[in-house]
Order: sequence, then structure tokens, then C-alpha cells
Amino acid sequence: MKQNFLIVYILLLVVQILIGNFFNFSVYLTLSLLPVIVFFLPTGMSAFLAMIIAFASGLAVDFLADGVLGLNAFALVPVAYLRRPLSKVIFGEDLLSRNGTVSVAKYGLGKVIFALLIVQTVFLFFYLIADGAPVHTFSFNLLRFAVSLAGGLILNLPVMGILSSDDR
Amino acid sequence: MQGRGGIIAVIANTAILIILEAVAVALLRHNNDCQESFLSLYSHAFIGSLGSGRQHVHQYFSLKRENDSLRRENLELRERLSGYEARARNTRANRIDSLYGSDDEFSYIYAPIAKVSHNKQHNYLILRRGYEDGVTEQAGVVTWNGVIGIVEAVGRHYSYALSTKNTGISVSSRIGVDGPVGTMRWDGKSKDLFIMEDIPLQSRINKGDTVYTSGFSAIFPADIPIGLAEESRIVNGATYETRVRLFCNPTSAKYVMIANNKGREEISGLEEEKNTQKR
Repeated sequence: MKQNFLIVYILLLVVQILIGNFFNFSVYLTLSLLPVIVFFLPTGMSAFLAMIIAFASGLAVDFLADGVLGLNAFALVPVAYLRRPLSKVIFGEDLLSRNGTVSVAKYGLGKVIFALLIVQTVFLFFYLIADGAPVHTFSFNLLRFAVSLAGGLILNLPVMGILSSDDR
Repeated sequence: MQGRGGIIAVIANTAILIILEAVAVALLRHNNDCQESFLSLYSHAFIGSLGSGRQHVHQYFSLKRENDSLRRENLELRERLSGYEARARNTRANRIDSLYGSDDEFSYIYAPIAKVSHNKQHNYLILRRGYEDGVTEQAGVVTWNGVIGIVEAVGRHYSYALSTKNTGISVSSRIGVDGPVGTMRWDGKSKDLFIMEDIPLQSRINKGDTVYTSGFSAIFPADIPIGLAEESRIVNGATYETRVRLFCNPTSAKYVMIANNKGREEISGLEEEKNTQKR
């Protein structure tokens, strides 16, 4: 199971690198799988390890795709930091105590989508700030945030299906 | 035990977060010109706001020193003003030379109030200045907008003054700049209402007129604003009596000025000499 997750994780990173290199549709749209794959790291994993993995993953994507070194790393580390507290608030203590994985079947699509929106929001908040939000207008930033959030949600729904386990 | 472990873990994780974010910011800064420019702006603004905050805190904690310095400056200005007023009065009276030449009539000593009584008929004040500071008996105790009392006894470091809110004290006062003169005393009841009496009947008193010290008593300097005239009434068909609402409640002041009349001894000497001759 762990080995499978590692392979899926690496594959999704590769997909993210491809998206970064070939799917630049608009300045308003930032598509990223990274916050979701970090959020779906095994719940038993410590925050320290999750942050290191998130930082390394972000740097890898920055280096191989986006070209702005440090951008994804900067935005992804807070997601890893908040991963366990968010899981506890949204899915309850039970998930963490038994080191379970987030399952759409168990927790329902609404809760999982809500979690997805939260982690995307955290990620986009830091990403847009580091990507020069202060030098753009508020309306530009707001539009970019809204479009990226909606795009990210659509893109991440199938990813979420892959990453979430089916145990009830 | 577990709770303490949890707190340590949160602190450690937060430290790791900060370190990783700092590394990411450093990478962003050194590899991208755009990020470098606005992060510099951010850091300058942040450092600026920190400096400004530090300045505010420093200013707040130095307020006491600042207040003391302002009080001393006020005292100095008050002395100078008193000198100018004395000179102006002398000029108006067409006198070439005054008793003290260019000096003013009063010298002032700044004094914090150590104790004050306010619920008796014969209220008093204890001032944190004594004869070592130059305080003498019968000196006036004033503020910039009122008369507070009269020094009755002087110790080495402290003085005892009768408050103007003492039914035994009266203050020579004047209505308006050139108006009628009368004596003012506390009515013994109100917080800030005094009675001014013995005002000549031919005087014209308007409600709202400012009442000043007359300067005729050798205790208080002239022209200190005391309060505003309120209702007046005729007493025994001979004089007016008017109520005066004070600008400053004598028992609420925290700091005062002790006004020493430089010519008091000479004035007293003359008065005694004259009295002896009459006997």
C-alpha cells in the first residue's frame, strides 16, 4: 500500500510538471495538484516529514516546470503544516487516531470537497502572494484566485478519487 | 505530560515551517528579479513599521519625563509672562520705574500635591515643597486656571496650605479685565461654586464674565482666570453678590505653583509700621 502510494505520488508529481510545462492557458489560471497530493499523504506521517516532502516536491516542480525557484515550495509547506489540524477539524479525531486515509465513501463527497477547497485556498493564498500579488490590483488577484480555485477543484476531483481509499 | 509533548511538537513544527519558508523566500529572492523587488519593498515596509512601533513604545514610556519637562517649561514661561504683565501694567500706569525694575513681582515654585482634603469645611493641602525649596508662609498656591490655596505653615520638605475650599479663606478677585473688585469665598457646599461679594452696586455684571484674581492681596498674582460669573443678586440694597463657577476644582489639582510675592516682607513691614503709629 505504501509502495503504491509512493508510485502514485511520483506519478502525480510528473503530471504536475507536465501541466506546468504545457498547460499554461491564462495568467488567471494556476493549476496545481500539489496541495491535494500533500493533503492525502498518510495521516500517520508527522508534520515535520510532511513539510520536508512538501518542500522537496515544491522545489522539484519549481525547478523542472514553473521556473520560479521557491514558489511552489513556499506555498506548499503551509499546506503540509496545516494538514493534520485540518483533517482533525473536518474529518474528526478518529481519522488521526487510527492513522486512516481519507475516503469519499466514508466521509462523503461534500466533506472531502470542502477539505479540498480549504487546502487549495491555503496553497493559492501563499502562491499568489509569492507570485507578486502585492504588485497587482486587488481585482486581478481576486479573479486569479477564483479562477484558479475553480480550475483546481475540477482538476483535483479525479485525483482525489485516485488518492482516497475505499474502506468504510 | 502528553499535553506538554504536544506543545513542544507544535513549537518544533512551527519552527521548521518558518525555516522552510525562509529558505523558500531566500530562493525566490535570489533567483527572480520580480520577487526580489517586491520582497525588498515588503521587508523595508516591515522594518519601517517595526522601527515606528519601537518609537511609539519608547515615546509612551518616556511620557512621564516629557510631562515633567513640559511642567518646568510651563513654569519658566509663566515666570516670563508674569514679568511681561508686570511691565505692561507699569507702562499703562505711566510709571517709569517699578519697585523691582524689570523683575516681576512673583517667583514660582513647582509643587506636586502630596495630600488633599476635600470633604470638610476647612480643607487643606500638603505640598511636596518646603523652606529648603524656597517656600514661605502666606504664599499663594495657584494653577494656570485657578487659585488653589494659601500656604499656612512651612516644613523642611513639605508645606501645609489652606485650600480655597475652606470657609475661612477669601480671595480678592475682579470681574473682567477692568471690572469691579470683590472678595470671593467658598459657599461651603458646592464642588466648584464660589460666592463673590462686596461688589459695588453701580457695577455691571454679565452672566459668563470671566473672574480673575485682582492682585490686590499680595498673596496671589493678578489676572489669573478663576471662573465664570453666574447669577447675581443685591445684598442689603448695598452691594452685589454673584456666584462664580470655577474653571478648576481646587481639590482635583495634582500639581500646583507656589507664588511667592517678592515684596511681601516690605509690604508687611510698612503695614505694621503704620499700625504702630496709629496706636
